[in-house]
Amino acid sequence: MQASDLNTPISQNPAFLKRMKQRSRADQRFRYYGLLAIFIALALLVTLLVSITFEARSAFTRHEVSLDLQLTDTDSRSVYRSIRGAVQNMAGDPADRDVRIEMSQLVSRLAAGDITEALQTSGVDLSAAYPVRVPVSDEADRYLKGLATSVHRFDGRGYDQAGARIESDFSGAMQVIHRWHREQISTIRHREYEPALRMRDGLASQAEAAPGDRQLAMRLAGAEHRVELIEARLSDFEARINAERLVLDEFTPSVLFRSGEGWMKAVSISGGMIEAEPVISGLDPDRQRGEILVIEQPESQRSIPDAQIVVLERFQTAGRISSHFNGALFSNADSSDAEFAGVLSGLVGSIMIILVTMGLAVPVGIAAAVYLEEFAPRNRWTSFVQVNINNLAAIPSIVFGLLGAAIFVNGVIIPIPFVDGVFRLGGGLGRGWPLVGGIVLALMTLPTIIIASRAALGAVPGSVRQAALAMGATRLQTVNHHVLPMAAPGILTGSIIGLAQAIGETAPLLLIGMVAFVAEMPQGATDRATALPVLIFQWSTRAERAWEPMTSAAIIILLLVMLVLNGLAVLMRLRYEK
Amino acid sequence: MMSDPILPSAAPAHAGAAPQEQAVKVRVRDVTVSYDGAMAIDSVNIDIPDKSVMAIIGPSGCGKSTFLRCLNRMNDTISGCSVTGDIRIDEEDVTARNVNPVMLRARVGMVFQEPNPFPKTVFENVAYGPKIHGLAATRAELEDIVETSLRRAGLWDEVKDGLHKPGTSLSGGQQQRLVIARAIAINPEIILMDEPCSALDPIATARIEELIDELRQNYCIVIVTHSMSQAARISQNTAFFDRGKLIETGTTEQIFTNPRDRRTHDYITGRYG
Repeated sequence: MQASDLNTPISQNPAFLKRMKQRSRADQRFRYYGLLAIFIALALLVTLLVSITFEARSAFTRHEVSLDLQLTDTDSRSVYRSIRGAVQNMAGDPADRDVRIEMSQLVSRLAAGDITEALQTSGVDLSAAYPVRVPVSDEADRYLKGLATSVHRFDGRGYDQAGARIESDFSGAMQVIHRWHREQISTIRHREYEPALRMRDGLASQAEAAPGDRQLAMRLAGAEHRVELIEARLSDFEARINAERLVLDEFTPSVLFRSGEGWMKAVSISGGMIEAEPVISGLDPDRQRGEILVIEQPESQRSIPDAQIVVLERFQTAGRISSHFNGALFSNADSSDAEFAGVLSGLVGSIMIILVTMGLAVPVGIAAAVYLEEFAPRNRWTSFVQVNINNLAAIPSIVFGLLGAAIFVNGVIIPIPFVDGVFRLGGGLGRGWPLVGGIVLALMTLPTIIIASRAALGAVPGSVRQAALAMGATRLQTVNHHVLPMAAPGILTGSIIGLAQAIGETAPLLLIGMVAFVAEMPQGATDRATALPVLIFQWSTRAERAWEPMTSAAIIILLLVMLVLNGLAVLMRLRYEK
Repeated sequence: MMSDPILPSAAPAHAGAAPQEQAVKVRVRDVTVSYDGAMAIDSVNIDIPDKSVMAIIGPSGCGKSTFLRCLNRMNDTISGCSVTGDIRIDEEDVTARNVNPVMLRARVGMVFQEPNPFPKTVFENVAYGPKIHGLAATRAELEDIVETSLRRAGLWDEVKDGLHKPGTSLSGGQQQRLVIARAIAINPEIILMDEPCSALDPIATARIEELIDELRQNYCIVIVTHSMSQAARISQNTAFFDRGKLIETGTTEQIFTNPRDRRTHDYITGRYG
């Protein structure tokens, strides 16, 4: 009869065979979905790691300049004065005060601190030159790493000089500048001119439809004016491209000319000649060793002025600039200058916080889980407690921060009725203490640990408990000798997950006052401190571009800390499972 | 008509031997157990004689295991379980509130259906009881207790070279003998066995049965079993439970050859249900 005929053996039943095919296809499909999900997750992870590492790589090195200091004294003021002097000396002691100041900003005032410290411990002969190596400013460092601006270099040998005029082959530089102008023109057309045109045309057709609308007419006039302005700028740019002689200022690329030790800065350029003013005197009279530098980004749009670039190039040709591993990143506390900033204070703060969290949350969490799972009677009260522990686990961490700030730092102020006074509940702990951070994060971590531990305890087979109880073990002995050791791997995993979460937590720490800039290393759990994630947050909000790679580097360090923590957890698990 | 189709001819000679002269070890009066109000066993009265094996038989769900767990108050560990009535061991009331169940369980050992050695070494398994009860003052004493217990459980020769291997690595039958060794290591007075052979093959079962027969010399043993041939082979007394009630109790010979109750007869001849 039909497929439903019970006399057909199942292996020949067409409905069965068809269904079988569908089922195996569904099986296969499901496996592909799983593979796809894993692939997506892995790809995202790899992308994240690669991009962070890529972003961070420049933070792991820094450029340092070797200087010979003529010290007059060993206090940090005099040391800084000597540093400034050494830099200016290298730049041929320019007469212009502004240029001198710009140049001396190549090295941060903070560099004097470390040197002063070293001087005071070692002692030094003030009459001799004192050689030091100091990090250059973050912007100079970015320039040396090629991150601040693109620099084009051309051969400048065999030039002719007549006063401020230098004749040489400037066609390469000219090309770069023309290309830059053309790029500006196309950007302005795209981003400003075309939208302005559309706006004007739109307003014009509206105005045509409603001839009496004065407001519309005014807006149209404004739009027309704007189009005219942009057109003027565009034609200005076009004219510059076509001009024989191009005037250079802080809104155009800079052209710097070097010969020997001397440097000139172009104020105008044509294909075969620049008019220039000296920055560092002493052009090579042999007219050899000449170089033309085109700094593409206009001086007004970058944080490193031409004068600093000249000095850096001067140091560079003198072989006084070297790139080193940025040890400060690991050995320094936070600093307002990126080249001196390090994560150590954050790391120490995080370790103190996590020790407090671990000391509170792990024993209390495990004890609570053991009580709830092994001792507490199953009744309405315990299920109420359990539901609320689950709820606590879902509370956003920032709320715990508010709670911590209210209870531990500020205290809850309750007015006493009929008496002119208030009662202060809690409070008294300082803002930004690792102790407070640890307590708050412990509160946050507690539900995670309790839930994970309860699950681990619940997974221990009842036969083990029965065996121990039947042997005459007390409940405590049963738990301590048999249940806890068997649940230990699960409890450990849960605790580590909780603690890892706590280590990466930022919001509650900000709320208990870890927002302030702390440049000193914390001395203890009751000292103002910062934590790694808070540091990352702070660095990411700082304005200078140098903080971008620093932020990524700090993230990598945080990830490494977590990796170490998880590695420890795996090791402990393996030991327990034996 | 009431011939015995089950009692094997090769039964040990002592099976069915009159145990009446043994003193009563456990006296159970009006014991009723309910789980969350649902009656599990109902007004059970039974006397269990010392130094003999009492088999408890009956269909699934009749309350055999529940009854067994009354004797060492393991039912206390189950929430919602209430036990009323009077259980006396050596005329001492063990259901009273002031009796410590931990104390009772040291006197009444238990072997479960599934072998449940601790996930520790063979040695640690047997040494656990003596350790928590403080029965061995020195390591040598402890080793002595472990060896004696393993010998009594007939396991010594098989494990003496692997005392520090995990107990869970033994075979099922060995694990069950290990559990028995663990139970007798603290020298209890009564041993409860809840279907100890149901997870074992016939050879391992035979070894356990032999062991039970030896242990009978020193302990009062109560065994729950689904196998009527096993009950007939190893026990001197048998109790038949059905739907939470004790239907009949007597010597094994009498129960299997001349049951007084119709239900007992139907059950042992396989006509039940």
